[in-house]
Amino acid sequence: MDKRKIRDYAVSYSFLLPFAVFFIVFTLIPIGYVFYLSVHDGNFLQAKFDWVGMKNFKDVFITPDFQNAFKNTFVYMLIEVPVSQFFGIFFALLIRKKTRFSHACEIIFFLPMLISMVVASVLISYIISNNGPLNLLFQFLGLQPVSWLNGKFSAKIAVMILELWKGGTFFIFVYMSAMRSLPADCLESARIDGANAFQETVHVILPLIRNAIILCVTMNTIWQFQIFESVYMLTNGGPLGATQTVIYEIYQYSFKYYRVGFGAAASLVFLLVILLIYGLENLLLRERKTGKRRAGA
Amino acid sequence: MKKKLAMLLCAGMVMGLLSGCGGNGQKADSGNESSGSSNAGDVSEDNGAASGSEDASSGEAVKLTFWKSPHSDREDEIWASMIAEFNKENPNIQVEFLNVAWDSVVEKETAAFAAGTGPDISFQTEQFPLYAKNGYILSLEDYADETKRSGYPASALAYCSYDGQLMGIPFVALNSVMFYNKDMFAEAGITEVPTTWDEMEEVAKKLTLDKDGDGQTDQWGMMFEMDDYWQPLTYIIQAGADQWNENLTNIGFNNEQGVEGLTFFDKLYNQDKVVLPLEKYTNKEEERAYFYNGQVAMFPQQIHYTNIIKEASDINLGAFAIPAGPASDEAHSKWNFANIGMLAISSQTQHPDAAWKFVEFITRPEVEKTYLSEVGFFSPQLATNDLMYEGDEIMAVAAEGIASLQVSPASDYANAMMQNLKILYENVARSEKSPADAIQGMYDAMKAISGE
Repeated sequence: MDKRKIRDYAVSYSFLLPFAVFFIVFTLIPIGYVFYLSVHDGNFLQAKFDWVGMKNFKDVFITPDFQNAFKNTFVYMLIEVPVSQFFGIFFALLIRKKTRFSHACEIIFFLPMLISMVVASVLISYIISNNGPLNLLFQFLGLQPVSWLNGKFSAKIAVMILELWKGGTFFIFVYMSAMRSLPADCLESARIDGANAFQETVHVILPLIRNAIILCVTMNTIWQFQIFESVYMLTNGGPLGATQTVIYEIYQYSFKYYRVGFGAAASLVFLLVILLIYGLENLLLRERKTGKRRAGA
Repeated sequence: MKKKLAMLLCAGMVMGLLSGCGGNGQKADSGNESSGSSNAGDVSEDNGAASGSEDASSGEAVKLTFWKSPHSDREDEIWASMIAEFNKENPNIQVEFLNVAWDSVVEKETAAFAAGTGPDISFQTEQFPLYAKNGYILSLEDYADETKRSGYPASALAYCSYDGQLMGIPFVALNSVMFYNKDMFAEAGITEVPTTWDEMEEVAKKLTLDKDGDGQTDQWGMMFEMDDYWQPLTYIIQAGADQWNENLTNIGFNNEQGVEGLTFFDKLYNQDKVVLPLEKYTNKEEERAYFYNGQVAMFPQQIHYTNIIKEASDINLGAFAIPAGPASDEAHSKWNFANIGMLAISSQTQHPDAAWKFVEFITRPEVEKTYLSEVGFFSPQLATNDLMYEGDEIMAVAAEGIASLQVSPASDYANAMMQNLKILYENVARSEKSPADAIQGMYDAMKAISGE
């Protein structure tokens, strides 16, 4: 390789250097450290950790708290993802055409994203408390008040309501953007062919925003796996661990029970699960593309 | 030329990034000049009287940080006035008070100590052995002289010691009493306060009523505060069990006595139904309102709740000693949750002498009484208690217990114990598990954490 080429490479790579350093220091080294911690036992206050091999990984699989947390996290994911995607698409359909009404709605939908999770949790906690406005409304309507945070399932629902309200509105904007960038001729020809609003949505809009749907579902799935603040703030994992999630348990074991190695091992197991799900989503997308090509051929 | 400039800029950015990352390390190192290490264990010896003597001789202003979790809504205000008093005597020592929430204090202190930025002075409770064991707390052997120590009972000093070294000066002493609504007792014709489990159960039954006749209970004999780790434990220990095993790593009540104690708690909740049920409230405020509004007659809690209750309600408040259990020895049968809080100095401090001056000042009887009487605590120093609460009948009930304070030993696993105690009670109160299964579940959970 001549000197000039080497210099060109040096210049090109030097532009990557700031990010590469950032990436190495704040991503790769911490991940490596998590691997190191996962095979050791101890806490951050100790000068050195004790080597325990795969014991922490074994413990993760046999600890009932983690089995429960995994189960809860999957329940959140299985319920919250379809519901938030349904509402995301539904509201995006309502406001996809630019009008004064849609602008007002955009502002309203955007507001939850501006509020911190702590404030949102306090708000929801007040609204659903035994003497809160929601129960007052129930009583006004002649219904029995619900002690939301006391029931195992109702507490889960409360966490999901918070997650839906706080995080779900983001998807409205993704879908709205996707719908607004759709080619007008497709929609016009559907209308000319006599499609009603429902048919237009199901047979034209949804297939055309498929990539946006896959993106949102993937993101939402990963977010649901990472639920922490809403549980920490609203229920503290209760009642009786009914709302505990994997991240919440990792936090408990690492920082409250001082089993940092256990927390690190659980993080890696969980990372693997998230990667698997992400891989499945990707596979789904790739298969579809191949299918299209085959159909085209 | 342009290419060289671009490369130079990139290199500059990288250097900036790396130097930014190294900022804290430099700060931490400056605190450990003599040891040259960020390991607190190495620092504790080096930062002793030698570096401290510099504080005494230099006239420069010294800045100290003091972390404490709140026992009162007015915590910041009270400490501001106490620090102002301290500054009259020590104008060159500035103390910055940080009010750290209880539910995050362990994480924050752990992170700060591990990063070498722990508070110079901190309020420590049952979790302190974890910091002491790893060398993050300065031994006060060279500071607390005989005169200072002589004010405290040996048991209080022993509680604040680790490995034979005094790790903090006892500052707060508390125990628990049964608060009660005198008017509700009078209305039910109860003239004597209960002194045993059986009597308490009977009284609670009498006080549990359906007052408006709609077929639903609207007045309850007693309540246990949501998230309270300690009060239900009373029954377990009063039945003759111990809180900890020998190594302080797991529960000591996975035995017959433990099950007997928890069964009594279960009976109160689920058989007698004399305890305010969990579904009636979703937060502490909602729950306490039942006591404040005269819908609950008895409320076992720590003594400093006296001020909290008095500020929030105008009920005719009284208190009596927690009724005794069936254990054969008095230490168990009359057990109630008691604790000592101490003021500890970090081994990472650059100014141990100045920190000691603050601790010594605050723990003087005439000074500490300002804080303790405002909050409603006692002092482990009996001389201070003589200066407070004269003629106060509620505090007199607790004062009897303070003189012979029984404190459960501090442990590395105190935090895990507290978290799991809550789950234990909830399992029983919600009838999810039998008392024996709930105890076994807690034993297994603690074993998963401590390995023993």
